[in-house]
Amino acid sequence: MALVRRGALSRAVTIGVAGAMVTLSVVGAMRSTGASVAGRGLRAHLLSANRPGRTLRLYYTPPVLVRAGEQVAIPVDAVCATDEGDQCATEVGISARAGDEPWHSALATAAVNPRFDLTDLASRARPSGSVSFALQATDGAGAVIGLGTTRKDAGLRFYVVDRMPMVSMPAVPFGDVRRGQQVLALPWGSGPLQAGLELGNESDTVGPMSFDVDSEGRVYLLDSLQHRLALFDQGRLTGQLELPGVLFDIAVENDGSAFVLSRSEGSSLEVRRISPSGLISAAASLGEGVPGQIRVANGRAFANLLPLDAWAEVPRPGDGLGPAPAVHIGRPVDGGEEILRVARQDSVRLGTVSEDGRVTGAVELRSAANIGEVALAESDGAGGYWVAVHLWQEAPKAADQYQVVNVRGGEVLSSFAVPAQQFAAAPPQNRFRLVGDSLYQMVSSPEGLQIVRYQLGGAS
Amino acid sequence: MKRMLIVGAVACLVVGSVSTVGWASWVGTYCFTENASVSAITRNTARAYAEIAAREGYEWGGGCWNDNARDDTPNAPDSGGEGPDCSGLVFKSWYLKRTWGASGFHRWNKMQNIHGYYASDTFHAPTSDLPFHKLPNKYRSTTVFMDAFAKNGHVGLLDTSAYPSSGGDYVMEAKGDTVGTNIFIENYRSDSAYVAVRREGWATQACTGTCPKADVTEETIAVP
Repeated sequence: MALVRRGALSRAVTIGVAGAMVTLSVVGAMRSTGASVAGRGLRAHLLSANRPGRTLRLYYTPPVLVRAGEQVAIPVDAVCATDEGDQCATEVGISARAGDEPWHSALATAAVNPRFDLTDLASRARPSGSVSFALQATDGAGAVIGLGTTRKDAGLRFYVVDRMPMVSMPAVPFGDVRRGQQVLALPWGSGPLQAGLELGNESDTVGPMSFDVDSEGRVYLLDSLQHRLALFDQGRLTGQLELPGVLFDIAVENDGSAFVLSRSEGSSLEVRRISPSGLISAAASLGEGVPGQIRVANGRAFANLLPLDAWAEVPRPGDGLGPAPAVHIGRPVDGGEEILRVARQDSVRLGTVSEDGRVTGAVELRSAANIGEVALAESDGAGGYWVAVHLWQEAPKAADQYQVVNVRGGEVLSSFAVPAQQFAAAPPQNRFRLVGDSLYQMVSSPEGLQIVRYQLGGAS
Repeated sequence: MKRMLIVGAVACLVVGSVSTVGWASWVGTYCFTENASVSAITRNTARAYAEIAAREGYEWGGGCWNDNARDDTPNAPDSGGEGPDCSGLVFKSWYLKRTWGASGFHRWNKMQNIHGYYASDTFHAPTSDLPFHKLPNKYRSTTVFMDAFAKNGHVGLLDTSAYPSSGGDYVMEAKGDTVGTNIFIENYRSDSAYVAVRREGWATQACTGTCPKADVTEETIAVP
């Protein structure tokens, strides 16, 4: 039985007073060292100089896409630590509304891990089809941090749909994988024709963090250990650029420009644009956060901000994200739509948000095997999706692989499995790219790194 | 990109980065001894401790770290520099004792350079005499934040039971010299090389409602 707790704040907000949520950090973490503040634009909400430094971090599990009538709960987890590494108490709150209803709020007491039940609100989501929400955590010393705001374009949301057919992924035995065609192969080492490697020694084994492929099949490799972006055309190195910071992700635009997500020495995430002629722009700052993805759509770059778990347009070179930028829950794609994807405990849900905010093409993919992350989710150009889902099992023998699925109109059109071959770890969201009718995968072995290609359309 | 400038000198980083003499004594210069036995701690306490290591460096066999949100000894992973290695981070965050197999909790100041007796291989395959054990599976219904994911060669801490929409987990880990110690999205849960490991003896947090897991308090709050 749900335990209902409401504080005074809740009553005040139900009268219709919006804006109970202050404008807060979008990346969900900040560190204060007395009067010096690591976050951006948040001085009004942070500790005074007389109080010890604190680190406040806020996590949540986003619903993203739910079926009308089902229960919806958002687990929220606040982390508070003093500079000495002692725990500090927090209070966590949520403001939420269905459509254009007044905002409703709820508070969780300290020392609990709350799950905010929004089932009632979700039931009232039609005809808007969405529930907006914002999260906030405060510590006992007055520091405040939040994810999303009550401003319409800066709020988090999840979508409610009446129709979401359930489709089963064809079972592919573990090990029954397709091998792609090699597009690029680099041995480990240092030098222009090698891929940089940091062998794990009570640490992870790390190699190139990401790649992208342009419409002409040229591979842009983010060789993080060698601090470079390297361009390969039919396996031949045709150019390289040295880039600063720890390089995490890259997205290539149709005009030949590229955007690179990196972390600076001071731990701030930033994005640089590289022009077709190789000029590197000043960095656009995204603030602190967990490294996510960067992608391009409609000539603009968007970054997936974590743990906010939403997409924001990358600021202009030299600029920084404001404290509450406009965000998109789905990943913006060409044509003005957004792709929704959410990995749940036993399924993957997909949908497309049109420019008017309606969801079409919602589908739920289930698998008999355990579902890990969704490594790729793209439109197939005909109302369906291509996805690469990491599947795993522990018995009878531990195994994992990716299953590539084309689903459209409530039907699986094709599906095949590919190996999860990662001698050197790349971020889970950076291992696949879909370009035209080709799926590219970055894999690695003790011998080196490979980019392989799978021709789509003829899979069984 | 149609044309790219070719830069003559490309930084190359492979195994065995060259250490700089000036950094070789960072631990000797800044770290000190301070530790004490304590009563059992909660998972939140362990996480708060680990939080300070985020944005710091990495050091094999370490370690010792401050809280200035930077790697004070970059490109020097094996020379007494700043930061833990992956198993050292788990050792200190779990408040383990520096005696093989000892139960109980011990707090090590972040500035005390200590690694403990356990390497990632030990976390990956713990024996019954150790104060941590392998979980029966890696399902989300089984793991709790501050459990660890371990393989031969690397171990990281599950920073929260919440997870991003893409799937995967937020993992606090000493990932390596280039990327340092921080929180990253990882797929260790679905990677067959990894197992889930739980520290034993966590203190139970105050629970005034339904407590589905012994040492974690969860509460469902309806928003009308």
